[in-house]
Amino acid sequence: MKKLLPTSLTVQNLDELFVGLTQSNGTPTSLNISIDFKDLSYIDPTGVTALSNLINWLRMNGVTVLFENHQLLSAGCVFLDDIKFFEHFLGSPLRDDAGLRPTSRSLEFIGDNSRMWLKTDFLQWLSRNSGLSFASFDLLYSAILEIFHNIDNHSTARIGAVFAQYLPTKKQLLISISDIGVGIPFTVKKALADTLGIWLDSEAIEKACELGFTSRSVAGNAGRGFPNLIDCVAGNYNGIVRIISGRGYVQFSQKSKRKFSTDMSWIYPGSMVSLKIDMSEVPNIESNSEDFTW
Amino acid sequence: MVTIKIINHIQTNINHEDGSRVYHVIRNALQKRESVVLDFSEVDVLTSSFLNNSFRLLATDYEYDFLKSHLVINNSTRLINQMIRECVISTYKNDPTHSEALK
Repeated sequence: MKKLLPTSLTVQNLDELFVGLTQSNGTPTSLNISIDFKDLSYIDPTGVTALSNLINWLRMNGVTVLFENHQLLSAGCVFLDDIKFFEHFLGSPLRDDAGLRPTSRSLEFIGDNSRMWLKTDFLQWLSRNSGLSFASFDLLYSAILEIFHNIDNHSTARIGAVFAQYLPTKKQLLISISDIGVGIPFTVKKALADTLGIWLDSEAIEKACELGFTSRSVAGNAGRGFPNLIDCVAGNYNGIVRIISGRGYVQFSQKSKRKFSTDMSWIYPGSMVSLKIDMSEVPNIESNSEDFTW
Repeated sequence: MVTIKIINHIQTNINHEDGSRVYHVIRNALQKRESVVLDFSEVDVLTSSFLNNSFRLLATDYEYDFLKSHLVINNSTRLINQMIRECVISTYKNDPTHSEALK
């Protein structure tokens, strides 16, 4: 089976990547899938992590995944080459001069040491690009760690990827984090004992975002991970949080006053959290040290 | 007075396991009725799962006044301070037997 990638693969048209590859029971439609890169001219961070997630998910399910026409070096492939996408999946870059651009990080896979990646790589890079001090990102640092914990706690496969890009002209940070797992709706419905399938996937995601809701997958959790993230990005930084899992799509924006939620016609295997942050909304904090008082 | 350097007990991504380790170290010291200095140098941030498995449990185990008088927090940041306060106070507020102490 062949999957022709669209000209532009972004958060707006992920359906073009997944439709035809996943069956309604959540399994791959074919055991041999060839991904054709010839038309790909643009891919955003959500597209990058979704594509990476899809390939890992297909391989995990025993599918042989081949790449086609990536050597044609379309603009999208050159970008993927620069962020080490092909190095990861094929073992080497497509071009000798492939190299990381100042405005993006390489595609990173989440593991036990991801906190150090966040601190020593991602936040240093973000500080350089945005002109804001390292101390300015405490809240964001904590919020992203919360997503990593969700992957650790709720993803059976424990495979996750993160990719970030800074858009200097718009002063925007785009960061996308995705895992291959049972997905948020499954975990929430299990916790709610929804054996009749009453809850829509998008409703289950909304439930996961409520303060105090916990699936109890880890003893002691108090259901603050997603609320903290949404408060930070949508509330404090006037940004957008998009959560995609199973058939569910939920979006929070503009200081949490606006929420958009829907069920899609296709299935996202695992979970995707995608953030857009207007860096002009992030205050520059020279020093964050403070004496503690009760 | 005993000093606990928090960074020495963080092995992963500041998650529930790290929180649990820190909780047991602090609790061991408090059980000896010692005052404890928590040194947060080199710790940039905390997370909810860390706090739920450390400070929330301490707030469940001990009275508010006891924690106030026996825990000293040093070299922390504004966000760390805020997260610890919120975690501890919300735990007491949700426990009717403790909520009087906050008044």
